[in-house]
Amino acid sequence: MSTSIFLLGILEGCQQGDPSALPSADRGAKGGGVADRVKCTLCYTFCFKQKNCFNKTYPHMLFSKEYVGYLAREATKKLIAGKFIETAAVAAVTARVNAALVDELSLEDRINDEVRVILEAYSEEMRNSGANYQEMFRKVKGELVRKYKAVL
Amino acid sequence: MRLSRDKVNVLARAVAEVLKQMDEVEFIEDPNTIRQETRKILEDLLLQEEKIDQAARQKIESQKRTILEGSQEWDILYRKYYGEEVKKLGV
Repeated sequence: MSTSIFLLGILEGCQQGDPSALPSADRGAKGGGVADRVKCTLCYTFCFKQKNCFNKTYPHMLFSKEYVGYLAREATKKLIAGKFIETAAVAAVTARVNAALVDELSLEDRINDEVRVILEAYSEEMRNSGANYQEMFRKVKGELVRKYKAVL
Repeated sequence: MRLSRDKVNVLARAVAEVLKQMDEVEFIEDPNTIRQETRKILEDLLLQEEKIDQAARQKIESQKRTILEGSQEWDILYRKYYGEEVKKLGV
């Protein structure tokens, strides 16, 4: 089975979250495992806040969390100093701005994590078919970026 | 700057959105002006960050032996020197 057929199967499952959308070969998988696994693991990229992931570190994020904190403090300070906004709760505002920046700057890491989870669910099938992991990674990532309309 | 213009716009929009949602924040200017100002502030800060990145890279390049970018040693040194440069900002 080619990489592209695999990709189609994965993305059909991904977009619809419906086991019946998976290719017939996958539907026959032991215990319906692939469909269930994909269904359970999909689309957590944007569940970032609900999953309380702010304490998680993203080693590949472009900037360190200290630097992002600095960005948040400076941006808040400058908006107040420039009389664009007014607030008595500077610390709370800075914290929210920091969270928004971390959320956006770690988006690529979270998409990468989601791609890994999706491909992990299909690892056995990919191994059996000899699908190229790197190629699959790139294509699934591209699809997720389009799906979420993400700017990386 | 290590971020695209589009990404900086997205960041500015995210910040403006968060500010809009907070009851504790009073907007003196209209939301669009605040978003544009946030973009300018972020751009300035990110240009400064580029200098930090360059300084850290320069320090690695000035080592006696060549350290290949992408190697574990390069990553460790980069984080160390980057951290030192960030500390100079009082972070």
